[in-house]
Amino acid sequence: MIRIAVCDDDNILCLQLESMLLEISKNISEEIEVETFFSGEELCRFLTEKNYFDILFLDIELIKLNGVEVGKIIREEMNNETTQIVYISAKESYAMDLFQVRPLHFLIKPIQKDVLEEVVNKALKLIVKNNQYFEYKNGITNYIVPFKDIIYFESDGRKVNIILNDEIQNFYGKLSEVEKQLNEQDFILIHKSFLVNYDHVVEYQYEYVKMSNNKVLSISQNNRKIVREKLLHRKQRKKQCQTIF
Amino acid sequence: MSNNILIVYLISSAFSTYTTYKFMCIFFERNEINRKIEIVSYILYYIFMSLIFIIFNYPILNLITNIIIFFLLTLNYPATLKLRLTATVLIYVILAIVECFAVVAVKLLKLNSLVPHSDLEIISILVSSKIFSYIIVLALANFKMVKNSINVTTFHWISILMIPIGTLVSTIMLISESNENNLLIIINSIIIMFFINIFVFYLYDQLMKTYHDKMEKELLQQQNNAYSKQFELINQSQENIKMLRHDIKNHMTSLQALIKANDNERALNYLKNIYDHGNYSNEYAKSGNSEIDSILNYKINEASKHGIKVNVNLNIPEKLSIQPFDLSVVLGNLIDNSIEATLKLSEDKTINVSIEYERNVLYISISNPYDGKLLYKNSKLKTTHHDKENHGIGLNSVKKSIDKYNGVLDIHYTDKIFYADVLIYNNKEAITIN
Repeated sequence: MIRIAVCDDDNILCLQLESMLLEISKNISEEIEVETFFSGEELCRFLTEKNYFDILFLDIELIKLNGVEVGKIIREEMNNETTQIVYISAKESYAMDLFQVRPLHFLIKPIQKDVLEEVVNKALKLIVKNNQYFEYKNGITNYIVPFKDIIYFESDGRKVNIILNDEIQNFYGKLSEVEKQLNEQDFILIHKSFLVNYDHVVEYQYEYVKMSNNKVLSISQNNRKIVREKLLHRKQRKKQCQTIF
Repeated sequence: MSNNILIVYLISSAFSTYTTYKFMCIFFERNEINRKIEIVSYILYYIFMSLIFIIFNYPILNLITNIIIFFLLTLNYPATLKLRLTATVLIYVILAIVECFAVVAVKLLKLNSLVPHSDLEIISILVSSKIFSYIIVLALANFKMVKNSINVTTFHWISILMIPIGTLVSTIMLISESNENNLLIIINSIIIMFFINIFVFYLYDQLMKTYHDKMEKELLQQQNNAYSKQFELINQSQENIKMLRHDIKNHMTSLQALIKANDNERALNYLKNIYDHGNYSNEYAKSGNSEIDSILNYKINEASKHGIKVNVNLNIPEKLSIQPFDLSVVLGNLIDNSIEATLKLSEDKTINVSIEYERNVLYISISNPYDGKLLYKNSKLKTTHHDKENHGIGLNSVKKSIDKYNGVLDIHYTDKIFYADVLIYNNKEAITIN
């Protein structure tokens, strides 16, 4: 079940988008549930009650609490990096603030169905990936952690620490073996002791990365060019998979 | 040859190998070279020169092998042939003059008469010349422009090169004519020629700077043209909106009539017309980032004159930290190359430009169909521009601009489509290399 929220003060647009989404859902294997909200406050209230959405279509020009503010609340206050936010706007120019919310995409009104379908498909791929688990063993017990919660792995002597939002788990193992287990497009080895989740990096620099928990990790001299190549290849691969963007 | 001299020779020439390396650093860019091969080549140079010295110790042979090996050392670095030759000659002449100077100066001081041991003279020549050349290399390191592999006209280049070559020949002639009586005259001549050569170095630096400024000026001119074109476009779209506003009453009446008559299809069509008119065209960049929009629209306009369509996809903030100048260099040149390649085709003339910003990184991707023929030079892709002299502002400057932000340019192609992908970190300010 894919949970989608639409938040726009224009209720005609909300209805239109909802019906388009339901139509699109016929073409995909996952079931879709759509909720609509007419203001940012309403959406935030709903989210604080422990509700989660996989995809959020968010109007930038909401009246009281605007799209940027809502996005910031989700990313910064709720520490949610995995809800795929798609901004909707009548304008085609975007302020830097919007990019700091790390949106999946921007849709321009009036919304075209084929573009919307591409966006939904793109989001689905990420959601499927995020719902997969990392498995590890401690003694005889098996543990699982969802990929989306892992900010980064850190090697610590003979142990590997898994840095999550509010806790650190660890197990005996090697970072290089963890790396082999994961898809290299999603986790990037920036240093011999740090393996970071692409989605949890909020700022990439040549020399360092800033993580969603505000931790700054430096990229080792040897890995800088490799990390840069990986970022570019990641983008190129994304391009090959899509036609419209 | 005594052991003393040999030991001093080996130590001092190790030092002078380092000086040579420093000299090469003044002339050449070392960003993209294989450091290990570089180190090995200098060690080989050291061993080879020492062997030649120990086995033959014959001045003319030393001279010729030295010049040849200097030239071979320049092959470590990516550069034009002109720059390699200039570097070889200038480095050799400066080092040679310093050595000659040391020889004559030591003779003049008559060190051998002070101390009966005759090794002192040679040792002091060796030591003083090496130290002096190191001091010179440190001083010359301030000239940064020589590194630019800008294409100088051959006439300028020959004029610059003739001076050190002439100096070398004159110095050798002077030294061979030296005797007890004319030492002072010779030493003065050598000093004068030495300074002339240092000035040549300075002039070369300035010449490069002038070339560089000229190129920059051309680019700025292009940017200005782009901005004025953008201004025109904005005006045009403002006009359209004004007209639409003026007509709105009429439109409302027509729409009202259509809806009353229940003619939904025509009403929708009517609305679509208004929408298209207000937007007036989807083929122009309107991301709100004026630097990128203006350069793109300028190029789109140029392309459309040749019947080439440009698809743009922009997901970028209105303001970036990357210098507009560098954005202009990168986008302008890459799109120019695309237009040039697409021109040769008779159909399917479409260029795709995509610029996206994500997590502090700007990704630019430009692709175009092409006829499958590429021009290579030194295993490096060459632009197929006709006037190559003027297009020193080609891929090289694109790379230079990208390097400032630690970014990377990736060029790849199939037999039908050519891709140029760029990654640039959106840094607050460009990191200065050197």
